[in-house]
Amino acid sequence: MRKSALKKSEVITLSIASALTLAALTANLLLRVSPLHIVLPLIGAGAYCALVALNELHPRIPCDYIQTGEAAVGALVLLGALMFSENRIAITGALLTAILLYGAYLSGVLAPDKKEHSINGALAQGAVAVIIIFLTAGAGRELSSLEPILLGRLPAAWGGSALPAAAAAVVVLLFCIARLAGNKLRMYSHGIPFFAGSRMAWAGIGALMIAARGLLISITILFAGITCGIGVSVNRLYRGRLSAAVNLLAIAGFTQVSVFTAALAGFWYAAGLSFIGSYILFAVYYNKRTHLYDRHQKP
Amino acid sequence: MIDIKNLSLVINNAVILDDISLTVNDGETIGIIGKSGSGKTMFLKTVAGLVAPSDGIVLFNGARLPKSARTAGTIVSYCGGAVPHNPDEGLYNFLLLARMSHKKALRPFSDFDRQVAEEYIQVFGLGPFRDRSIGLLPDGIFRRVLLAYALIRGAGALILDNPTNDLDIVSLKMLKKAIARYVMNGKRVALVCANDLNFITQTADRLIVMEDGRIAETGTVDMINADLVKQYFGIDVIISRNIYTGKPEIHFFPDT
Repeated sequence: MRKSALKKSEVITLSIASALTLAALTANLLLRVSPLHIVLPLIGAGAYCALVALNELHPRIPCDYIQTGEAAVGALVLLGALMFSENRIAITGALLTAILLYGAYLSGVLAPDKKEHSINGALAQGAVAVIIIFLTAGAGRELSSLEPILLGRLPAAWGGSALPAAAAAVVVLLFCIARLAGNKLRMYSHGIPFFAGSRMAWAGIGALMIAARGLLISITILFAGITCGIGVSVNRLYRGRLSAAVNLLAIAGFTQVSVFTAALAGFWYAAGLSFIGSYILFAVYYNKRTHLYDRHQKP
Repeated sequence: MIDIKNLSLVINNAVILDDISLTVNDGETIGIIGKSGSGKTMFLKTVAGLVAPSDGIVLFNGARLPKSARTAGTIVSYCGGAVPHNPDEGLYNFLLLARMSHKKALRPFSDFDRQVAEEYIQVFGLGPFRDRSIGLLPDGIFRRVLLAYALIRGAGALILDNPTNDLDIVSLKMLKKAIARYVMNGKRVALVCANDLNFITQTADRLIVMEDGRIAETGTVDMINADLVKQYFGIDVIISRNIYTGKPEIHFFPDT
């Protein structure tokens, strides 16, 4: 592959992303935010960054996890599981199972079209919001019980280092596998006619992609809640070199801004900022033609 | 060399291909013509192993196509109307993927693989577009990329189904040269079906006319004449000869 030097605009983008992330981190330290609340979302950001890279090779799901409704489904499952159990393994298992099933539905039933996914996601979010209000009000609980779920603070509350270590290991492992099998996965992304393998192998890779996606989204929801929902849009809008680095900095920086907002104004503001930020970027991406030729828009 | 014996295809009681037998010798380019619905595409897909025949066999150098799709990819390369689904892929990286059948799993592409990709980037004039995403290419250039992909695979049998779609006159010339160069290189054959009769007569060594799933006529390109076109396409044409190649050229009568 021919390499060329970074363009001026790419250097500027990278510098701005680095500066903003560093500034948000420093502000959080100055505000004396708990180190766990600063560090653990970075695991979620790493997981979501790996997911965005994987999403490039699985173009069937073109939206962020907020727009697809995966974040809402995850939040609902966590809330429900927390009502019945305090066992962290059971709670994590329930989240993973629900996200895997929902991911299979997104990949298998919906067309690979951002409009279809976003409408489906909006409906899912509406339904989840109604159920959550019913569950919390019905059980006489405060809506503030959603804070650890929406901001991904359950692992910090649970304590222990096994879960964060395992999550970080899964992220690194999946990232390495994706790098090693990159060519095969890229062939997979183009469809069966361009895949040098059997139909069964193609379907097998599809199933593995859904599984890997489910794992990464579960880790993101557990460790960063809904604060990573800008990743896919940033990635689609920024087409320069070192896009993985820009994306990681953007997601990590955004999680830190959410932490900062929560410390300063409360968790509803932080959750709202994540939600609105994600939708604003999605709207920009949605209305921008990132591909000139319509033959590619609906594979 | 391809040996096709008694190839038949029946789908929902409709006979799509009817007892086709044909031998394609090394270094030969076969042009396939016929009206829409005559069975050209299904014939090519069946030969390429993409559709299982109801009867008959296709042998490549005396052997059936292996079940392993990876190995089969080194024997047959088919280019039809399929479009890659990931528009974000860069042109050069996409073309390199065509060499996947030639490399071992988890190994990087060899220098030879890169050399082959570079060669066809030059042949199809894709140099100025090599760093672009394939989703950002004009239709004509995108079509050239798909054709380059098929040739870069370096399979023994090159099967092109309507390769002239979307191609401008420059691209047609590039494609004609590329096919000629491809079959000259070792034990290779090409089967090309196109609705552009002039492209076929200038490119093929031998012609096949298909009708109702059967081979109706076969011979050199010189067999093309006004009567044959009238018989199989139902239109009146004038045939002249190319002043350089001496091969037939078809001209339509103006509407009266």
